[in-house]
Amino acid sequence: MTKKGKYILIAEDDPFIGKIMETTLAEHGYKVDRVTDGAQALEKIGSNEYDLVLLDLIMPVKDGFEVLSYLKKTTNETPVIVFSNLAQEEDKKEVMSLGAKGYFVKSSMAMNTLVGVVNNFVK
Amino acid sequence: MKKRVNKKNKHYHKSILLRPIGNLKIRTKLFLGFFTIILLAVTVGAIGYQQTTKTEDAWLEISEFALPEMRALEDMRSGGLRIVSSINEFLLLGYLGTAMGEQKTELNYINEGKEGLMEGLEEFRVLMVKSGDDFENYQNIHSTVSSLLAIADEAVSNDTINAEQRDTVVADIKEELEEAEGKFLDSVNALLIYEREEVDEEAEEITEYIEITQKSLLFLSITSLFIGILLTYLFSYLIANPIISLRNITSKIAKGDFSKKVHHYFSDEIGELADSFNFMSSELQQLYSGLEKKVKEKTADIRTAQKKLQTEKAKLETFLESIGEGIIALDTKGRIVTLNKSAESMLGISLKKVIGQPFKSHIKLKNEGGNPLLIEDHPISDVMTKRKSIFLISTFIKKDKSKLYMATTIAPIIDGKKVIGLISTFRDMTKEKEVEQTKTDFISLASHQLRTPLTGIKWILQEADRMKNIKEWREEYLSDAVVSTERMISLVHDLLNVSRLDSGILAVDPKKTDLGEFISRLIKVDAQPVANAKKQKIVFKKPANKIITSIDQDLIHQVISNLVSNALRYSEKGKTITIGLKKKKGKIEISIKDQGIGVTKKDQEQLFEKFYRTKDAALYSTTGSGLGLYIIKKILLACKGTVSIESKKGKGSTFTVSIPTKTPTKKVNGAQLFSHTIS
Repeated sequence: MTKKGKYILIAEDDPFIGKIMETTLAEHGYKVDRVTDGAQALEKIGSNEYDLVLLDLIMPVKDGFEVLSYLKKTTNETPVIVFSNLAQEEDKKEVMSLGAKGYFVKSSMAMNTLVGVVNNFVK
Repeated sequence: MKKRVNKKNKHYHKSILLRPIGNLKIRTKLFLGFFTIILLAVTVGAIGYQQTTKTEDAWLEISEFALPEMRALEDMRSGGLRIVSSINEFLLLGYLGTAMGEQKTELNYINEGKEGLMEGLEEFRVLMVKSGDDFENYQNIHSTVSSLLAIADEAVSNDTINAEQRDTVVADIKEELEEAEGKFLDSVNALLIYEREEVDEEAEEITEYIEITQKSLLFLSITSLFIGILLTYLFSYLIANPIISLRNITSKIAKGDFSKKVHHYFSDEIGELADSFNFMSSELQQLYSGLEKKVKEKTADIRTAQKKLQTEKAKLETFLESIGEGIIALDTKGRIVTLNKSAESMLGISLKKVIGQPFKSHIKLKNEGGNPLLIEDHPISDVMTKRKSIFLISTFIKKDKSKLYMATTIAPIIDGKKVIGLISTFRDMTKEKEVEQTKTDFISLASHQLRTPLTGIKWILQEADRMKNIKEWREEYLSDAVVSTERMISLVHDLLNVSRLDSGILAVDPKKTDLGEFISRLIKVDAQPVANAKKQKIVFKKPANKIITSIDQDLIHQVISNLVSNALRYSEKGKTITIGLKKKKGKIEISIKDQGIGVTKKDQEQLFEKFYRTKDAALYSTTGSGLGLYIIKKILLACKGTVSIESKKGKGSTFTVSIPTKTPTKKVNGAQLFSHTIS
């Protein structure tokens, strides 16, 4: 509703998680694109101006780390928040060092919390 | 013992003759020797003296008796001749007196002649007595002189004698006288001849004596010489030889050769000395051999000890070498004393090259934080000073730059009260570290995989709560929640199966099965729906002859469905999966061939390990747990079967399962596995 025009990319290989994220964010007024692997994500980021990318880490073809590394390397400043089920502290460190704006463990957050995080960020 | 040795060492002289002399004391021997020589000299002297005395006596006899006799005889002859001349004179005087007529004068002359004749006769008798004559000559002469005197007396008393008569008388006297003269001369001559013969005999005897003396003296001298030489030799033999022998043996014994004994034959002082010497030598030998024996025993003891030590050392070395842990011994200055094979291979250094060299120049360690560990700052110094063992985990960078994680224990080597070095035992923790890492990775992955469907379910349920129209929600999300739940159950099953397989409590319950039918049903029920979704084709050609064998259907189902599941998952849409079944060499082979992503040679080596996922697989599909192939391997191991892979990256893979025609039953403590579903 208030976030009209904000453009979000969801990179998530799990079809059910991806689907529910996409549906929920769309319901909250975001324009949402969804891809299921890292390669597709990079392709989309390259061709569109996203306000935020919600990135999973464990994905086929190219994982989230590779996506972040590539973005860092190409100085693409598209903001990325990582939503993963990897809960290791090292993973968070690595992700943040690769330029992610945030790191969240999916299983430990409610769907509306996720929406809240996105809202907060793109405001 | 002493007696026996002594007796044994006595060598009596072969000659029994020499023995009694030999046995005499040296003093006696010397005395006897010199005495004999002196005796010989005295004997020679005495004999010479005796001979000379005899010669002298003979000479004396000749000079005292024979010569005076001869002289007496000469005197007698001259006396006799004087008598004859006296008679002639008397006759001449008487004749002259008569002729002159001087009766008185004539008578005087006759008396005078008579007296002279008597005197001559007496003188002659004395000579006769002296010469020991038998008086025959004297008798003759005496009778002649007596008849002569009777004629003279008759002539004197008869004054009337005429010239004729007188002439006759004178002629008679003359005749008588001539006869007497002749007889006398004969007799005296005979005496003289006799005396001369006697003297000659004596002289001859003397010459003989002299010759005998000469010869006997010569003989005695030569004999004495020989006897002297002989005696000298004998005594030198009896005295000097044993001394020489003694000296020779002494020097031999001095060189340690006790086998030789002093050979003495006599019981003189040297014999006694030799006895004492032999006794001493045998005592020495006993002592020496005792010593030698002791030395030998000690040497043997030492050898035994050395051998024992060597054995112990070898044992210790073998022990050290066979220990899987690396061991390094250092001296107090941190120099390497020794290290075992494990240490050599772990650290990539050789003992020969590093022995005696400082530990820190060859072994550079990093602490857990990755910073260099300096020996000086190292707690090793504490080990030395405080004599306390320490434990630490350090990282060693090998020459090939690979890391070696080591759990190290360092302990002091204490000899008595002194620390003489330290020993470091270290274990290669790399594998453990890897396993730990794999476990960490797995837990991370497993929790991720578990969280993912759970997240889906959670969010779907939250949506259900949020949504007003439950029917709309059910249509939209319920089936998704079910799939997510199943995925999670399947993952949990895999984890539990691994745990059961690892603890080895799998039950195997074979049943007679038509394998062709078994596989067909598996494809139809489990695989085909999944294949259809990806427009993939499954080809299975049942063999012409039925293959009926005993298998544990649940377990083999798990194996085949897992492999088919993989084949479908890692192949593109529209690809074909070919399943084969055949009997080969008393075994049954089931092959699953796909046209999928394939597995590199390097990955093939680790493919069946627990939690292993190839990078290609992980990038292709994120849902794998890395447990499927491990479970297959474990199941087949329990069923006495095998699994192998033939593959090339990007060209597809063929997994071949080989099972025996009869699977052995195993029910004891058996546990069943959770079944696998193809998704």
